[in-house]
Amino acid sequence: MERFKVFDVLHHEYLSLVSVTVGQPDALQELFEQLEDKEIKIKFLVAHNENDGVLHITFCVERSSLKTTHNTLLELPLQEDALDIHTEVGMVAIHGPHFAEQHGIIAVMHNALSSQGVHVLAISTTVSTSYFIIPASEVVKALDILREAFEIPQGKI
Amino acid sequence: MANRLISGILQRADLKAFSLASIVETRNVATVLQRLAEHRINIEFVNQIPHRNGSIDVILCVDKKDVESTHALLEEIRTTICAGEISPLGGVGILSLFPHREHAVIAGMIMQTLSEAHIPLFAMASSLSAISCVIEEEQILEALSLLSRKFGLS
Repeated sequence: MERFKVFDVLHHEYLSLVSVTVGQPDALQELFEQLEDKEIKIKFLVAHNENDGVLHITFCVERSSLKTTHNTLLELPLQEDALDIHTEVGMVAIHGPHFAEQHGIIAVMHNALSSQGVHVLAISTTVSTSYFIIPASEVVKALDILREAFEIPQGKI
Repeated sequence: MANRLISGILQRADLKAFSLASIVETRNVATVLQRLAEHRINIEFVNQIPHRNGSIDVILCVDKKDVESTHALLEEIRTTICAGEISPLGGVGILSLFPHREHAVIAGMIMQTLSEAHIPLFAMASSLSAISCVIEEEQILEALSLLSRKFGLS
C-alpha cells in the first residue's frame, strides 16, 4: 500500500500535560497572562466548550516548568476536582501536506499508533499539523511506528 | 505587546462541527477517523480531549457538503465505539491566528475577547504555527473583527 508522504515528523519527550475545567472561559485569561509573565511556553493546547458553558482545556508545558505552572494554577479559584496533571508525557507530530488536499492521514497516524498499543492521551489536528500527546515512555516506540507508516524525507524525523 | 504577538488570521467557513462524547477507548477514535477516511471525508479539524474519568471527547469539523454522510457514519458506529451522544454543533467556521510562537497569553486573549462579546468558543487547538478557534458561522466575521482589533491587525 502506498504510504502518505509527510514533510517532517516532530517529537518532544519532556512535557507535562495539564487539564483544567472552568465555568467561565475568561477566568483563564489570568492564568495565561501569568504563565506568559513567567516565560512559560504552551507546547500544545486543545479546548472545547460543553453545552452548559463549561470549558475543558488541556495543554502541555515543558516538564521543567510544571512546578511553576502548578503553583500558578493553585492561585486560581478552581474547584477541587478541576485540575488533572500527567507529569511525564511526550509528543509526536506530523507536518504536511495540507489535510484538505490529502484525506486520511490522521486516520493512518491514529490507527498505526493505537493499534500497536500506544496510548494516545490527546490530539490536535488543524490545517497541516497533527500533534499526538502520548506517555513519554512511548515516544521512541511511536517514532519507529511513524517511520513505517509514512514516507518521511531523510533527516526529517 | 499585543501588536507584536501575531501576524495574521486565516478564515475558513462552510464547515460543520460534531461533538462525540464519552468515547471509552482511544482505539475507538482511530475507528472513527478510519471510517471517515474510507468514505473520503476530509476532516478539517480534530480535537481529542481526555477526561479525568478516562473517557474521551472528540470534536471534529468537516466540509458542509459532507455533513449528511458524516452524521450517518457516526451514528452507524456510535454503539460500537460506546460513545455517549453525537451532537451536531451546527454551521461553524475556523479562525486561525498565526504565528503563536507558543505564547501562553494568546489563548487567554482569544478567550477573553470572545467571552466579552458573548461569542461561544466551541473548540480551540494549537498547531505548529497557529492557534485555531471553532466559532459559530454567523459570528465569524464579528469574531474576526474583534480579534483583529485585539491583536492590532486592523
